[in-house]
Amino acid sequence: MIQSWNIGLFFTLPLLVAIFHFAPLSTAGRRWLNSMLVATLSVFIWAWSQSDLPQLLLVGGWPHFAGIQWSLDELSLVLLGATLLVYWPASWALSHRSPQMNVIFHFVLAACFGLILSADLFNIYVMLEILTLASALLFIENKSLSKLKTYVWMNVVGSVFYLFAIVYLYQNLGTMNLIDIGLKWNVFAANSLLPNLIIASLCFAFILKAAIFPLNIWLPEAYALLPKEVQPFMNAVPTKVAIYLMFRLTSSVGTGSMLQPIFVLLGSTSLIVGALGLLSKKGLISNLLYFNLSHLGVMLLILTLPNPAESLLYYLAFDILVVNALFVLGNQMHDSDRGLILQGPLFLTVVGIILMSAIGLPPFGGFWAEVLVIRQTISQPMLALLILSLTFISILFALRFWATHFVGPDVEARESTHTGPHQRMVNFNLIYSSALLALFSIVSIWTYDWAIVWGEQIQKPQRHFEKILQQPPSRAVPTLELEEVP
Amino acid sequence: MFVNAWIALGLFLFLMVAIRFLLDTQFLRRILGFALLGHALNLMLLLSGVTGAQRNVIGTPAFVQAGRFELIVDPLPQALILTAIVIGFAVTAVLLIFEIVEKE
Repeated sequence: MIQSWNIGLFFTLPLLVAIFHFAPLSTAGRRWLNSMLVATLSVFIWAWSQSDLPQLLLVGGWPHFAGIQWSLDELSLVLLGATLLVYWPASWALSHRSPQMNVIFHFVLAACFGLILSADLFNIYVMLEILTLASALLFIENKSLSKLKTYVWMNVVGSVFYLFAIVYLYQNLGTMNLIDIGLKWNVFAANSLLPNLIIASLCFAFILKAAIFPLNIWLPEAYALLPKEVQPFMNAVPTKVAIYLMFRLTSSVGTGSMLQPIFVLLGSTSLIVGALGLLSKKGLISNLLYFNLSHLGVMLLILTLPNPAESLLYYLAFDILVVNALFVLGNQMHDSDRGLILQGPLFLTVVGIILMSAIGLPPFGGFWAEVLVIRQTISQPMLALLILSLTFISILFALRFWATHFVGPDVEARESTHTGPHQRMVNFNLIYSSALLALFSIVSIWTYDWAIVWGEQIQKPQRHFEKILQQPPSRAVPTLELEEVP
Repeated sequence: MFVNAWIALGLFLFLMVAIRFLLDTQFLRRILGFALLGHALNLMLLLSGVTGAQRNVIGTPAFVQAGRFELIVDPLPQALILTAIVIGFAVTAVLLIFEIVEKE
């Protein structure tokens, strides 16, 4: 029988594995260790999916307003699953690197899981800082430290805004629990601009982490410098987690009349800038970084829809899988590659699945994710048009990609690079990533109706509060009986 | 009221000097600015646990002078400050490491 304390294992087990990675293990040993972690956490995810959600973990047994609370619902479960799926090939690829790199990467994973599960604003701040520091240390082997320093400073600025905001919230509401804040928010924020500004500064910190335009300047500069093994994971997961946190915040307190137009403006601009960068930038990795930006813009637009959870449920999972697959493909290829059509049917099938999923052609997963977004934009035709325009631009990009790298006689240069053990591992990674996308497409067809039902459930913060009432804390807040000192 | 005014003045000074240093071109000054900004934020966090009647007893020992429960400052922000200090220390260390590695 699964217990609510098991939620904590998503943070503690990656940290435990990180400690084991300090030992001088062989590459096979590291891979075995990482695979065991994936297997263990997968069992928990499966068990949770069969249980009554949401589930809450009151860390230390303190009441929710005085301690840290972690909560697990359908959306966080899907996000945990998608993160775990893309973690496995990244950890597999990283296993031949130094123990330190493996340790740091597991800290990144633990922080991502912590961010997905935590429902406490200060705990989220701590996890964001762990993520920033661990991500920054992943760059340490790279020589371009000036760009990396920009990344750290940008995150410091975000953290400052975030801390100012939570200080104000705690002073006025006496809690940092997102569910509590949601319940008290309507009375607190009625007819006042300042609380909305506070939420805007929290969103500013998340937008900075998610690298939404115009705060995206650090992402193409910094993430292109990451080790190739972790580039797919880092581009796929942390930015999406920031969008997920924005959803958690806005589903508790609402986007309000002030944030709604800002989200629409920033989301649309990111989508357009990303689409333009996708078509105009030279170099496959740069193209993909802008593709990621355009999809982040779509996700910010989703937050302005009447029921964002319904669309996010699929879009987040799809985006993590597709960005991971695209970066795996981008890392395997060189900008000078030509004539790849001669690489054989397996390679072509794999690339075909990835490209068609990225575009969103039916019956691939991207199509179902887009349908769930567009069905909510009937009353906002401009949004639907923007999102559809991204599909057309992605088709244009895919056609240009095909024409540049696949059509043409020159294939000798590629053949010489397909022999080493490292290259074989990358090929496995590519097949695995595209197989995930194919599996997601099949699952999407079967579970499409569930997303609508789950979406409506996730949207209700009241559901979490009912769970708090059902689950009394093991500790009580002490009541002091003090006498007046004369 | 007297104590509050000092804390407010301290906060203002921390913020002013921190922002001035953060805008400097010298790396070490920027680091000092970051440390001071951290102190300012910690002070703000400390004040977030203080409401209404408690404002007059800041700076006095909680269980001796204050006596009554409603006059005791909320201890949670103080626990949060400890965490924030550790995080600030870690970020400063990482920034210093980057600077040293870059110079080498």
